[in-house]
Amino acid sequence: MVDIIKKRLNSDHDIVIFSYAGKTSHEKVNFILEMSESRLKIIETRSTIVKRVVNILIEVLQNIFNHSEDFSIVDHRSFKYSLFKKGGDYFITTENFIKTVNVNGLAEKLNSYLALSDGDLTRIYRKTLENGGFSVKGGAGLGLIHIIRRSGGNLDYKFSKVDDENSLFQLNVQIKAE
Amino acid sequence: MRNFYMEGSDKTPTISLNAESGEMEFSGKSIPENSADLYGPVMEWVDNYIKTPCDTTIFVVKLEYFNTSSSKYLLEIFRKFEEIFKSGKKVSVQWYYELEDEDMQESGDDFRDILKIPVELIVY
Repeated sequence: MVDIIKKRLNSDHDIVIFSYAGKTSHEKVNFILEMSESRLKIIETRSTIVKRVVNILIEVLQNIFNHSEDFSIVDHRSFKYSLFKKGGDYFITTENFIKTVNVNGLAEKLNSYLALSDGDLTRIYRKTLENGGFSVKGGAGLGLIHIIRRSGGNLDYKFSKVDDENSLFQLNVQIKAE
Repeated sequence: MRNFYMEGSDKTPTISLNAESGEMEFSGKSIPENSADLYGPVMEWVDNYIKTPCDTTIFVVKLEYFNTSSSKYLLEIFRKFEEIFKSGKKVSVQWYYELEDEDMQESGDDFRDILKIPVELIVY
């Protein structure tokens, strides 16, 4: 079975390693992480690359889970996720709902972090780790910086307004492996 | 005081804190959704330990993965050890990382840059 998967995953075509669409829960996040890591290990022998991808994935999924609790409507706690390999690099794409009122704040944060040099990003990360408190949701305000830092800033995003209250947040993270 | 031991799981680290030898160790994964639940009891134990610490305290960290909220708690725990370091006791953190694992090495550098206690980066 593993050989069949390996053969398929080692082809030159874009390879979907794992994808998911559905509700968020602790159990789902755990399941996605386990499946993504175990399938990734079949095609990627370099443990440092596996660790980098999984490390980013942990932050991406836990961010989505934490913020899904903003929504009382269960359908708005749904999300889409895909991990795939393309041209030798790995890509994490996600789609989840976000309160429209929070869109500008998140966009400003992302833009400001993406504009930083590696050195400045490290300085901001350390400053936030050293001085930042915990948010109401238990986050440390480090997740986004961590994702950008570990991906080398190879990230883009898009917001689409669904209605006055809700928007869709699409995130694409590229992890260079070549 | 009693030693502290918590067996790890696929999301939480094995934590061993020895009040008699001063040997502390975190290993495995630390990616819980709620880091406060995990690290609250550890911080409480450390608060008691630093009242009557060993002459030498060595904190071994061998983590495969940790999330950012865990890193915040790790820093808070290490900071508690700064107090006994300032009082003249020997305290150090041994941060282990796999050869070529630049990310884990960089994380160790983050702690070394922030903390006043020595942080030694060790390849394994």
